[in-house]
Amino acid sequence: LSGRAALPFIDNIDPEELDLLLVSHFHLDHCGALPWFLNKTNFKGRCYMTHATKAIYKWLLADCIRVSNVSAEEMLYTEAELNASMSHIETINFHQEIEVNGIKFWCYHAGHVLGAAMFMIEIAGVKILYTGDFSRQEDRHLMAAEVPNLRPDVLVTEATYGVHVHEPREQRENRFTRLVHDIVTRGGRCLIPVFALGRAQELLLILDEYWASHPELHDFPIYYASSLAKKCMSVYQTYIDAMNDRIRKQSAVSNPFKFKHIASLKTIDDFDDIGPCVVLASPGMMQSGLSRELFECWCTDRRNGVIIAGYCVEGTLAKMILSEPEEITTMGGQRLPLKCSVDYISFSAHTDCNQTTDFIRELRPPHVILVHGESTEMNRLRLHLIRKFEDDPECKLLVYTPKNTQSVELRFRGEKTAKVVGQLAAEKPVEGNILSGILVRRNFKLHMMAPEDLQNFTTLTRSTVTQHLGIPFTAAPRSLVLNLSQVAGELEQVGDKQKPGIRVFGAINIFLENKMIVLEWESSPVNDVYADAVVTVILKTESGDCPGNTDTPIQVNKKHVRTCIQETLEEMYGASMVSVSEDQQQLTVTVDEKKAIVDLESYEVKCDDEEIQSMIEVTVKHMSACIQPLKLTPSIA
Amino acid sequence: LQVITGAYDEGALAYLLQTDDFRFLLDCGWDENFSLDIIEQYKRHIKTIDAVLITYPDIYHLGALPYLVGHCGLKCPVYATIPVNKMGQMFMYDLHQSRSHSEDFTLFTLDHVDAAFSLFVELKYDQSFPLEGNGQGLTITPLPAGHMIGGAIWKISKEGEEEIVYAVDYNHKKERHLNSSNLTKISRPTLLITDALNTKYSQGQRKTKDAQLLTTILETMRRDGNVLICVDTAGRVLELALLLEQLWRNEQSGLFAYSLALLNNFSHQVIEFARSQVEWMADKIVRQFEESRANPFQLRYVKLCHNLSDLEKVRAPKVVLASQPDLECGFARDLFIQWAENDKNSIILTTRTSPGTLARELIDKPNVTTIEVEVRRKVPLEGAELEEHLEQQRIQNEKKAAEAQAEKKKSRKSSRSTGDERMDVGTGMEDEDENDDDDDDDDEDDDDENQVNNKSKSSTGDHTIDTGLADDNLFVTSLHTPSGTRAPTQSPFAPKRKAFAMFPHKEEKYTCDDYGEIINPADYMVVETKPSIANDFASMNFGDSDERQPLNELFTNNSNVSNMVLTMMQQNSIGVLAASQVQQHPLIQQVQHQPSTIPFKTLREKRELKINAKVLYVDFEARSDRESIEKLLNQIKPKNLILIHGTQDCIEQLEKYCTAKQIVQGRIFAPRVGEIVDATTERNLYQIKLKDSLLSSISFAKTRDVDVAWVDGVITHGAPPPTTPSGLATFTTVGQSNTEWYLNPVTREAKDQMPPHPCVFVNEPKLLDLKMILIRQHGLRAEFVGGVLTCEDTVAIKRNEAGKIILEGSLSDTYYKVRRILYDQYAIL
Repeated sequence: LSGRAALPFIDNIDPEELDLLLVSHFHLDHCGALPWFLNKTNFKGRCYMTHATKAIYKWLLADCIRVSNVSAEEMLYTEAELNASMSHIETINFHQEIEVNGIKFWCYHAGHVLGAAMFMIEIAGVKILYTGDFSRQEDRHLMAAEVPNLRPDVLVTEATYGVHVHEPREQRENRFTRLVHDIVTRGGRCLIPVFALGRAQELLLILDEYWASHPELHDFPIYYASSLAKKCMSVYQTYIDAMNDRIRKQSAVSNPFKFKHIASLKTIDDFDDIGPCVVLASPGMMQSGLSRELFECWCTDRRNGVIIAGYCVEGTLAKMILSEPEEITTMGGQRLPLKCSVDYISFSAHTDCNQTTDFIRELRPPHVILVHGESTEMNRLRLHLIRKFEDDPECKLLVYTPKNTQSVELRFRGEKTAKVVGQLAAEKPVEGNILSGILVRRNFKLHMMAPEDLQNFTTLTRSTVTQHLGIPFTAAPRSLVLNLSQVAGELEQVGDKQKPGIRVFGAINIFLENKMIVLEWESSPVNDVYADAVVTVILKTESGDCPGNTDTPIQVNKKHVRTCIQETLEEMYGASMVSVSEDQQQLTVTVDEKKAIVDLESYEVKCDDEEIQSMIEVTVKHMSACIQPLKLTPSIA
Repeated sequence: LQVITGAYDEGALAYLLQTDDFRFLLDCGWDENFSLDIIEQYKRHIKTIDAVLITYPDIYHLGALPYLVGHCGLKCPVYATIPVNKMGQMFMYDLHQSRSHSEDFTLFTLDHVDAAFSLFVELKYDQSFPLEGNGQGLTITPLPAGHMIGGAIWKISKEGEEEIVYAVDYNHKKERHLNSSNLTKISRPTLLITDALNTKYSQGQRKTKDAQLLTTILETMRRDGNVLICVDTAGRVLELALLLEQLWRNEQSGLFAYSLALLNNFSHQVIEFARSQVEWMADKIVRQFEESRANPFQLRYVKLCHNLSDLEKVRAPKVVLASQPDLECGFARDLFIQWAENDKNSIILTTRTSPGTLARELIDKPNVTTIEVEVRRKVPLEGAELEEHLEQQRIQNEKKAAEAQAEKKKSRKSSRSTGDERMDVGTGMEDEDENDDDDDDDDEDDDDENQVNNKSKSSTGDHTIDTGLADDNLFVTSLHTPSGTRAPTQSPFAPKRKAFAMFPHKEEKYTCDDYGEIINPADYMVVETKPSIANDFASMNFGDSDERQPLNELFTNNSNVSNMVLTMMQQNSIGVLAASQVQQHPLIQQVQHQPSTIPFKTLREKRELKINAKVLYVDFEARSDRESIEKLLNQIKPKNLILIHGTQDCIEQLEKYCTAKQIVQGRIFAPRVGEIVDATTERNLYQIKLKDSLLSSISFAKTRDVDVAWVDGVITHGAPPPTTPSGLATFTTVGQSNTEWYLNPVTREAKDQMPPHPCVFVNEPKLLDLKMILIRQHGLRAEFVGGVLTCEDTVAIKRNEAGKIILEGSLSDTYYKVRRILYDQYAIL
């Protein structure tokens, strides 16, 4: 696959909706499409990776562009676009917490390769751990993946190796050094095809150390033949702090990545093929390039040996020679006999079955999502995990193995917890008390506070709006006062002698200036309605068509109210169902053979059935509120 | 908060902060003079400290740690960033070496330094680190501070609500190798602890400072003089090294013909560490590295030197970056003495060290900094008692001549015995350290008692082998293995342990070895020609060992005795090396022994040093100055403020400023040394869970990036009703543990009884924004007339003095329209 066909299924998502793009490490299958994605889609979020990843990312992809033999149209991105993508990528240090739009995330060391990170993402209290590729086994320069001290709610982890179990590190290193030793001492050339970055550095460290402790081998040169590895060596020499303690201690004395017994090889032309040597060459699966060329040169001599040190994909030469065929086909089409020795030692720094199981046991996440791996292996691992944790009462494990483009939806009902702060929290909470205040929601966090504290605890401010509304008015002020008193009941005198005014509803001041009435009030929904009422009165007075020019305010008596209520209820439930008691103090309503008694003095309703009670109650309340004069409780803004 | 040191002065910093039951020590500084008064202050609290937070790796911020760990039993974890840990070690090693080069330094040993740094917990920027035990609920976070690599501003937060920020010596400006501090990200902390050191000071333009430095260097180079730049060990030196490297690289500067050297005991390691800490540096450097793999500290022109003889190999005229910045000790002081009298040379000071130090004196007397090189000035380099001291010395020498003779014999014997055994032990460097120390001890015993028999000596020898072997194993894991056998018995104040000071010399040789410095046998030949002089000299000095002088010794040209010492000093480490390698030779063995018993510090001489060289102060401190501090305080608006570190004037000035501008809502404190201030704030806080039924009934109004809503609810507590699924997280409420409070919706009856809540307008729209909205979105005419926003000539919106918005207009459709638009700007609750 190459070009567009090699892209992930990006059509299924809308890049514009993404807030955040996290890259776990520099391997092509993790960041290969990044320049394309950052430059050619409408992705507007932010992109993060660790320092080491970013430093290597550039060189790795530049190398890819160089070696890829696709035509220019098919190329997803050019080198210029790769360079442009660098400015979009932000860096994050291990453990550093960053918050973007309320999404908090930080990363842990993942082992695997230099700069590989596991991302912990926290959204609204739900934590998701994405491991990327990780390894729980400490090796020569990288630390084992850390186990976060928090319990994630969802674990997204790789299943590359399925239920496979790795050979212990000591054993495989011994096997490796012994093999190399044997090959060179029998006068053969040792070819180790590797991917330029990652495992290659580990192997170099092993070899350098082995050579240092075996002076008899000093005559045999070791080369690494990859310009990319050479370029990135300075990155390895620099980001010591992302490696394990051993390297960090060693670097206090001398940098372990300044090899003493290993030289770099620029091209095959510089290589003087005169005798036994060890060559690490890329690519790792010998599809083409230097490792292939060397292999074709050397495979006919039975003294020589090839050590395959990493994962190889079906269909590559590396995979093919593992089955030890008699002959191989060269790139030129010739057939050559395969006589050299071929060995496979897995130095892959991916988690294996045991490591994954232990990792899950320590984290105890309720949900595990397996990604990255062949489906049969993945399913085997799923069954294995379910079986392992079947009997564990503390860990109810749900394992998902989604296919490509299939989404896993999990719903979390985290309880919303608000922090009560400031004046509101001055009193300790007491059962049954009523708490009122402003609830502030910011980045999924809830705070509750008194309005007065808003300034102290948030960046928000409280403000008031005062309104001054002028209305032309020519009618007699007296009639206005009269009309206002009919609407609003009591009137207050405000202002001084120069500027006398009246105050209605306890909130609105009315001044008369030069044929203009000015209303003054502080905005609030209630006051605005009052003001509208006052405006209406003023306009009516102005136009002179005020209904009652009487001095007497409306008198309301109890009897009237009672009659009204009775009539309403009769309309609602039927006349036969409503009866008035003899002392005229009680009304009995029968609904569905249930009786409700309405006290006409206090307007209380008694009924066995709650539903009916509340229904009648509302009716009665509303009726009485309609008819009786307002008892004003003015709103104070 | 209690101040241990660093109030109303410019020296070391250390503050004790107590939050609830947890006690932080904020920084752990010491001054250049190692005053024991400060230690006394520490000692009172040492048992109660739960954690130490370190901001920068220099002596003012962590200098006292080795002593406290070594002698006072400080055991709590020390939190710092990775570079602070690494560079801090360099600082302390270098300081120790510099001191012991010139005198008998016993306040702490390298082992103590190692012990101190083994307590370090390394953090990254923005890493929240939750504390345990007493500090449950507290989280500490280092934030970038600039100034020095890894420099931190510490944020201590409690349950995500209370924030205490400790920010000192931060730099608001970007530099070549460091980002600026991002103190501006902090908003309204409960308590801000900051320094007022620079409130009377202006940092000046970077360009002018760079130019000043460049012209001075150029002038000096052209007249064939040397430039001494006094810098610290591993902090600001990086910036200067980078600056000079860039100047040298620039072909137009015409500097590449001259030499440039970095001289301190650990220059190689410092630069090596700096190379591996690129991710802590400025964005520009990080980018440069990512894009072109150019590590800025792959220094091409700066030659790294570990001692004066290294330096001599560097071709003159040369520019030398040397430690220590205070000129109280170290190579900088040696060079200063050598070079100050030559009017071709220049001396550049880069930082204002605490008052009383030589460097500070040079800065404070500005007439020296003028270009007139002729200015003659006396530098009182030593106390007045020196003359009589010398006299005494002579008398004592005569007295002890005979004893010394006998002593020499003995010491020869003892060293031979240990030397033989050493051959068995092998070549492990640690062994030698160990042995030599013990040798020193032996000699000490000799000095004091003159009556130690050979038997006890040989037993010490055996003992040495044991420890030596043990340490050999440990060597793999640690650079300087603490030797447990010695540390506990050792008291720095016992005069007995005098000669101990020579132990570090071997350390130095040891580091040289590590870096593959080739030992030239020719160098040792020089030593071999001089042993007799050295012997005499050594014995002559023995008499003085009882007299303890805390500081400073000086070599003069006038006295031929000191001349000799000078040469001895340069050859010192070489001598040691020679001895350790060719131990069979009795004569050399003697030499090996000699340097370890010469207490150099006893030579004190007052000397009038004419400073003919040009002395210049160029500020490369990189600390925020007044203007920026004020600006920052304005932005941060702390609720309470504690001012520390700075002269009385400075603090008062800043305090006045804060009061005038009403920056601080709460109180401002400016405590004195030892004073305890109580900055406790009334903390009202509890957590409450919101029922889903409540939440569903709430409608949030959005304003800016925040959603707000009015909530009425009834508090219930205890276990949730079975219908509510219990959450995963557990919360602790303040005051009442294990009780969870729930907020339920208010029932209808209750709601009816409640008075309606007052209306709240949230947000404060800007009139300017409002104008744009009126015009753009609603097509209304709007313009400002005398600060009043008028709309369609009928409606006016203005803001009165109290900040209230007033909407004015006559009754019209426009009025209501504008009102609606105005309301849209608010979240109305």
